[in-house]
Amino acid sequence: MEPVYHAPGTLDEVLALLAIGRGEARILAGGQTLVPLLFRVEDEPHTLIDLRRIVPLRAIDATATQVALGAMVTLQAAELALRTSLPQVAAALRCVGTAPIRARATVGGTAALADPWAELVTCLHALDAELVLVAEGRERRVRAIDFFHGIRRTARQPDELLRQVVLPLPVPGERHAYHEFTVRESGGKARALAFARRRDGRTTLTLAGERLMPLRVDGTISAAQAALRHEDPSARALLLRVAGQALAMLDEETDPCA
Amino acid sequence: MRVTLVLNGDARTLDVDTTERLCDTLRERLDLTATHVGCSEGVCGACTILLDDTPARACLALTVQCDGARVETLEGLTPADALSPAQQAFVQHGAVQCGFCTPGFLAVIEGLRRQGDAASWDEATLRRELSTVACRCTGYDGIVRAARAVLQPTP
Repeated sequence: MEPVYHAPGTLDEVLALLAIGRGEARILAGGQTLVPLLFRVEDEPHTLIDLRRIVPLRAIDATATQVALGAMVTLQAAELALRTSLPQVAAALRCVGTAPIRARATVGGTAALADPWAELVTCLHALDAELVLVAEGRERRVRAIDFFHGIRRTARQPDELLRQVVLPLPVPGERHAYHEFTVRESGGKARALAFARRRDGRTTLTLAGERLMPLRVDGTISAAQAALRHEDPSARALLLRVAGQALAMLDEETDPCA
Repeated sequence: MRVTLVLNGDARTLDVDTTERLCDTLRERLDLTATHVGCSEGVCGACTILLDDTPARACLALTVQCDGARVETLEGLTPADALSPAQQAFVQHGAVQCGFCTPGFLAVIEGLRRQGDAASWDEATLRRELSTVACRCTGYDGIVRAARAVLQPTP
């Protein structure tokens, strides 16, 4: 059956629709991930709530210590906004799909649909970003590490809208390095993403792959090896190679998209 | 759902299904078959059209999302009785073999032309931007040459 389509003009209307949706409403942001999913039989929603008319969700608010990106900020707009303040996150976002995808894919859609290979998901995880969830009469902020529960599974409740993601800006001396590698082959692809972060003298490494949600470990290859011991050998080898590259890049400037 | 698209310059009001993709509205409902559908997941780029001047995948947009938007397909980018400069360049530089991906490339090149900063791009940047569409037969050199002729004309 065709879902009922709504394109409300205010956030309050969205939250009201979610409250009566009983978990059978799907939120439509840019559609770059969701549209193909709508054609899967197991994924037929009762209601589609399109956020395209909610202008405040396109806001980008920067302060001295953080950047808050509204759910409807496109990955292209986010990339531009973060080039100076978080250049390695911007570099990661330039690796997303292709320009026509980045022009429509959104921060909120990418985070809420929680694909393991999504560059933004790895960045949010690596930087301890916070995700702001709103529902009728309540709001909460969830750390990325608590928000992403698994592949396509998050802490968002059915009546909640992911309104904003909040990225902390680097402290003095903090360094970041992002690297990813994709191998396309017959029957699928293998992908590895790594974000290295050195803050207050401590290095961490966040790793993700085609079927691996972001995983944060101490910033050494031996810590990565231990954490990945249950991964299949070819996925592990690719992840370790990308991890090594990100660690090496912490002290140099290199193109993150190989 | 009733939607109004500004389609190739003309306002068109249509009744469409909620989950109807823009590529299906164009091809099945309006018989605008220049927009080709390949992978249906946004990777191959054959269905690329211009949505408010920006290249977009018609397989990843629901038509209802495009209510009020300007949609341009290859039919609208082609003069009535001639080839566009980009199409002429494709012929001249051997950028077409089977032609399946060509509408997508022409939409991307028109989007880059309107965006206006491609004139100063180096070869690598131009190639990266053109890699948003997959060609299955010519190899890309002819396409890159044709795009360069359009976007970086030498006086």
